[in-house]
Amino acid sequence: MTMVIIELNNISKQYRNADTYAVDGVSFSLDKGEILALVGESGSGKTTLLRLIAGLEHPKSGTIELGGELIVSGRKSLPANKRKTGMVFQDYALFPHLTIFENVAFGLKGLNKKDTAQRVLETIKLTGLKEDVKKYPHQLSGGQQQRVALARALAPRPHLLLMDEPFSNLDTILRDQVREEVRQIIKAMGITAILVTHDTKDAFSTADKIAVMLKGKLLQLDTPDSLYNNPNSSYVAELFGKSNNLEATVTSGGFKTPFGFVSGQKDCPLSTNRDKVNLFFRAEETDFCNAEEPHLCGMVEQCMYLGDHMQLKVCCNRCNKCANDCKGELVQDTKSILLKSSIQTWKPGDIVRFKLKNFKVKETDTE
Amino acid sequence: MAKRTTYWWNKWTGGAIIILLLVLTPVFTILIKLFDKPGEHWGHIASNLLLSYFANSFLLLLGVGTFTFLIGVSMAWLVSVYEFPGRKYFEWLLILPLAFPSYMMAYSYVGILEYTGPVQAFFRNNFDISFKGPIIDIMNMPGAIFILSISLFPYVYVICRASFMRQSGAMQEAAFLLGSNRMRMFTKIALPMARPAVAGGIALVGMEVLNDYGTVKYFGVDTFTSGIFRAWFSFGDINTAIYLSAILTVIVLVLIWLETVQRGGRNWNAGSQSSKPAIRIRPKHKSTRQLYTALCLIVLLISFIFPLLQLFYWVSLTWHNVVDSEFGVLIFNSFSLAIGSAVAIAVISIFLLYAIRLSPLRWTKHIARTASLGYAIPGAVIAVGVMIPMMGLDRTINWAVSNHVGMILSGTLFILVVAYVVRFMAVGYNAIDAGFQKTGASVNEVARSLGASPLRTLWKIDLPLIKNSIAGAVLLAFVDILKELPLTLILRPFNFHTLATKAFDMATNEMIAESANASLVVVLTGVIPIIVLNNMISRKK
Repeated sequence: MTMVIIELNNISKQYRNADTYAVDGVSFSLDKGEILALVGESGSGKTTLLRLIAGLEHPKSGTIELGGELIVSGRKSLPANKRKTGMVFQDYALFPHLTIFENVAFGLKGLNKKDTAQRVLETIKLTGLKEDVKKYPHQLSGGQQQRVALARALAPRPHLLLMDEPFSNLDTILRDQVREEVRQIIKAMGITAILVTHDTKDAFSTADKIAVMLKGKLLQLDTPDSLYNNPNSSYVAELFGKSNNLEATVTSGGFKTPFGFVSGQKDCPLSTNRDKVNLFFRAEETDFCNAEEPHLCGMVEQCMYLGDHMQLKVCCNRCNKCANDCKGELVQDTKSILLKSSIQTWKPGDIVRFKLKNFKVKETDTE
Repeated sequence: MAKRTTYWWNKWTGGAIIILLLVLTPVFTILIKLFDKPGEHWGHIASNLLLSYFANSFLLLLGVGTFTFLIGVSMAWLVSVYEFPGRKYFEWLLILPLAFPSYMMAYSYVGILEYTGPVQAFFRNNFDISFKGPIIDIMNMPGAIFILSISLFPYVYVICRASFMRQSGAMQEAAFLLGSNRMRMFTKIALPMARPAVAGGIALVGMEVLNDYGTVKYFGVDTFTSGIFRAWFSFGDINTAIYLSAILTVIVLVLIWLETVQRGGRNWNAGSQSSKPAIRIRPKHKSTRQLYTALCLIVLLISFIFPLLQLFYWVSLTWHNVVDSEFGVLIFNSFSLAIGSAVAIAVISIFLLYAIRLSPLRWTKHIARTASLGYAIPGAVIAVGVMIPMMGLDRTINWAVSNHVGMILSGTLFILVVAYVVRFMAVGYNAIDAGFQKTGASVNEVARSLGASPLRTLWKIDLPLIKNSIAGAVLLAFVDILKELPLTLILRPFNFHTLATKAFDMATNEMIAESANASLVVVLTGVIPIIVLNNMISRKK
């Protein structure tokens, strides 16, 4: 049985002196125990949304329900200190004048000394922090501070844990490790959490669901798997890895593209009446082939060495040296092709023959 | 079920609104009186004196503005760009004149230059040259400009130095690589970038000039402030005093407006915050370095050391006549009044700033800023603005209890404290605001999201974190109040003296040497925060 913990209904927020909405008509709900990642570039409104939920901002319109209670509607709002939401800030915001113990104990109320101590130590242990609890925040490393911030937010056992860019201050190696642990801790406690990040890797590795935001609007909220494989816009597609949106004309039995003919696949029936469509495929959804097979063909324009693979930018000159019929815009459409097992070193000007292993037919973006 | 409340309203907001209204009452009172009928002596003042008030105030502003600009900017440039012997000390020594109230500086210089003073005695004894009267008569307009300039230039110096130091080294290096020399660098890059800061510093100087009463009164220069005093004390015409105050307030508000307009969108900060400051240049020639040291030394001698030595000299002559138990009481009264008012300022500032912190409405910040408006308004005007509503309240109280309890508000120290709070709110407000800014909002927000009430958050988190700023605020306000003259002169209870009014009283009653005792206490006390704050800053480096 699932239970809705938080529900946002058409939440909008406009800052004073701003022409546009910071958050524009966002609605979603989250079940108990789920972890949601809000992903978007800076200025997309994700942090504002988090602050609205925490009660640190008040929306222009819309309602918020937390644990079945209406906490925001109209001009009425439940003050932040009564919402029972834990918050982990980007800079951790540890109280510099209090020890680790005092930091974590700060949110505990109505417990006697013994129970407080027990709860604090229990929560700290859960976060895997082995440092002396009598130390002060400035004596800790970034990763340890992060754990204290998390323990402090978790100690009062909040209904909802909010995290604003929790991993952005950690270096790459530590980041991978902490990400994993944080997910385990949250799951172990069965807490519902929302985390804000601009890093899709954070989102993929930590969250059950991902919400993509752009210019204050919620573009798509889905599981990581569906977001990756079935993005509803080119922005979402682009956000989660290199992808191609190849312009194509519908012909009998397939699609005519600047790189050649692609035969129609049975799992993507043509639901559209238009004759111009886009073929959507990820960079890794292409494969090399030899001249005998039916193939697409292009010329390498740029190649980028990325360690375990190379990324090629291919333009469509139909296997000849760039001819006049090569249209510049098509080059951009075929951004990159991932090579998984190529021994060959590619260089600009090489001819590349490839086929699409998989693709989706999309209506052309009407932007 | 937890109760939802109106999101922008809480007890703090309510309290802040009330405080704000109270603090702004004097200014409103004065401005409203502009539409009232002036007093009976208005006609006389308007036809005979008003023009000279305008002319003199304008000349003072122009002269002092120019000289503080020249001294302040050049000193700031020297110490922030060049390396020369003593540079490290001059950097903060040049702030010391701020500890010297201009009217006390005026008394000192009259003493230095008079017949029995050290300069003339030196010429007489060594060269047998004697002058008739003072060598240079400074008891006139140029003298007033001189005195105010040397005592106020640190306002420009401090703000300008901060601006030069903030300008990033990378940017200066870029200018050099593009082929600029030092001079071009200064006129094309550094000074234009510091312009908003310089203008802000000069605006402060202008406010102090309009506020000054002691210097202009002693030198016999009639300005608006001295006009207010004349109307009040000589003519006994309160309404005319109010009317003059109102005109002066309008002038000040226009000045503030001009300053804001010139600043315009140019709120640029010199480069990124993290960039390292420019490396100081050590002039190649020894003589150049010595010249720079000498320049700083001359400014320091004239603006602080000489007048201070004169005070010491006078004190050595007169202390046994002046320093007695009565003087002890004077110090005690003065200090406790100043400390009490400074603490009141700090408490009110904390309340206002915390209400802003809690408020989800962003514009409250701009409204609360008006609480610091009093700093721009001359003390005499504030005194009049506080006096009117207080006397009204007193009348109401006396009528209500139908008994003569007397002037329990306007005739006591209470009115002085209120007036100090109104006048010096900005000092405490800015210092505490800086503390809040430095701590950042997130610790407060996280505490509240952990379920702590606003009061508990303030007590447990914010106050401990900004305690240094609070101490700084109290200290700065304390020193400013100790130096304050015009407001205290008008509002002090009968026969009550502070060190400032006592010094003024003695100096105007031909006891200038005796007045040095009170002056010296004020000046030396004023030096303390400069040293303390300088230590705090250098420890942070």
